[in-house]
Amino acid sequence: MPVKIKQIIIRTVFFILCAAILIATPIVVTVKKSSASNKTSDFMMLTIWQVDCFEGGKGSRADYLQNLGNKFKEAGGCHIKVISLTPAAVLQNLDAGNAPDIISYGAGICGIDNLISGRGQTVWAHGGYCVLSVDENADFSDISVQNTVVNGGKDNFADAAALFCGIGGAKNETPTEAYVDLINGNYKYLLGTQRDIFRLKTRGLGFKVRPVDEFNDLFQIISVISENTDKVAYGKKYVEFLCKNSNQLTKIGMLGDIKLYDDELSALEGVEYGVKLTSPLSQSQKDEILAAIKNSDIKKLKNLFK
Amino acid sequence: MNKTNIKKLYSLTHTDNFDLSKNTTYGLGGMCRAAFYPKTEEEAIAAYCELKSSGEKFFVLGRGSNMLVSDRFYDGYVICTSKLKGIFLTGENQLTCLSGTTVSELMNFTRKNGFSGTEFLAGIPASVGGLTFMNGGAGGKYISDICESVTVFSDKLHVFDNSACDFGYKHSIMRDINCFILSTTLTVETSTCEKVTQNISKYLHARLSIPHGKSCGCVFKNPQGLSAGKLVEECGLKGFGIGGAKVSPEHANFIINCGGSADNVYRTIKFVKEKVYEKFGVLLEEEVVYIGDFNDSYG
Repeated sequence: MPVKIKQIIIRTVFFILCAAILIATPIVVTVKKSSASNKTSDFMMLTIWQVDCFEGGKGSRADYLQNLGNKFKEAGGCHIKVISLTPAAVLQNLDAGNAPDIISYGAGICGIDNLISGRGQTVWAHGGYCVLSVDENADFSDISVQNTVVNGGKDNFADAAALFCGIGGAKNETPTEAYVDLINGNYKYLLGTQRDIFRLKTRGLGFKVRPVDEFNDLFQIISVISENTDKVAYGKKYVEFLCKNSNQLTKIGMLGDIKLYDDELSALEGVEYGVKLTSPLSQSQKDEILAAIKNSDIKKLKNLFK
Repeated sequence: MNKTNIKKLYSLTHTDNFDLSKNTTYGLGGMCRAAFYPKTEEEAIAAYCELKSSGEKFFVLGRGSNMLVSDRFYDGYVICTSKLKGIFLTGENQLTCLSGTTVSELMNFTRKNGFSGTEFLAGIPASVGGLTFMNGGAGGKYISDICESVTVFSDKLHVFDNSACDFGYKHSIMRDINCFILSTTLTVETSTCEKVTQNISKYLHARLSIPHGKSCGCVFKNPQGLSAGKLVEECGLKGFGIGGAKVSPEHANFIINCGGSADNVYRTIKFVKEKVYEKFGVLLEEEVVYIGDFNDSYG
């Protein structure tokens, strides 16, 4: 074989080998990476603390997050474990050095502002205040401090909603007491939430609804707070998954960014709120808000909620 | 040896050639290939998944208080929950305990924080996971009485509420399915440190009547409306034994290891079962869980 042809063959073989190595390397790397990441997700578990700071609609928000967590795993995500905690238990656990990877909370919680600072806050569901009446002649034109009872809720600012509605100082009662007072006719109106709509529906009572668009703090927010990079990545994917599935919020009677209801609850959908609270507060901020509510200082309240 | 299949697990805290006799209340049991000690729920899931998919034999070990392990070599692995510990307050009256949390740690926590409701467990040499698995308890009270929910891993995570746990006498659904108990959430009541301490002392005092010596606690479940111990006693078997195993003279439902072998205990249990069946026509069912192979010939 002439030397030139030999050289050409050697060069061609060398070129093909180099090309093969170049092409194959990324494939091998990709395969290895994907297999490693699948393995990680097989065992990785994100712990979510679900904190109920305000009454939901129906069912359990923790169960909802867990069920979606199971679907997230099936869809290639990681394991999700949801624990339901009270706001007080959250603070006690944080004091004891226990922290989750993700926390889902209402804006009314206080004391976790440092924990979630700079971590991103996504609203995954919300509720809404409304005025309800079981009086068939009610037209909401005569709402007053005297004829309206306020569902005090949990760690939400129901009295701020009353103040913004012009009925600051109306009687504030526990959720059940307020509801019972309404159906017993002790009050013509109830300043309540989506939860009261479900209460009335469950009882089969006819009722009228007027949404409160002046104020809302009934937002369920989620933040990924893990320090582990892999967990943060999966946590963010879970939050995306949660938001993508907002059409399932009917299961817990909560509201989302899309239209979900065609019954009485639809009155609370698509409302533009004058004042919103979508971030947790420090204890001093909460104290200032409570003082402003007590003094019926709407102007200050608006500033504090900014 | 399929060590390569599970080599990832060797990044966990582990002990090769694990001696089971040092980790059971009977003080019996042979060696096994290795024991893994997950410290977190993730490590527990990893250990469980890897061992399950490897096809290797394995079992989950809590405090080893309700099992009889064969003295022969166990050709498999153990997942020890002894480092999977932690108690978290999840509500005003709710505690979540990781499965390896011991009863004594639970008592210390409830005493310190003034939570009552768990005191009846005082003195039981078990982990919370083990108690949940067996629906253990004492003095006619069971963990199911205070169990809110149980988080387990099988193919995926499940949170079983109390009713889904299918608790019964010395039974839970976790005994029927292949799963790993990760944590148990208990309902407690707000009390005072002093009151809880008093209650714990009362229950510990009541346990003084329990036979001394190495045992697994009660060997047999009580048949409906009957006392297993009474049946054994009426067969005249108190003090009876094979080799170094002996039916306790104090409580006939206890079989004590007085320096014998696991086979001796096993044979004694089988013998007692036969005698009770012959005399009363009642087939006693073991509460104790057997691990490994036993020689049941009396010879």
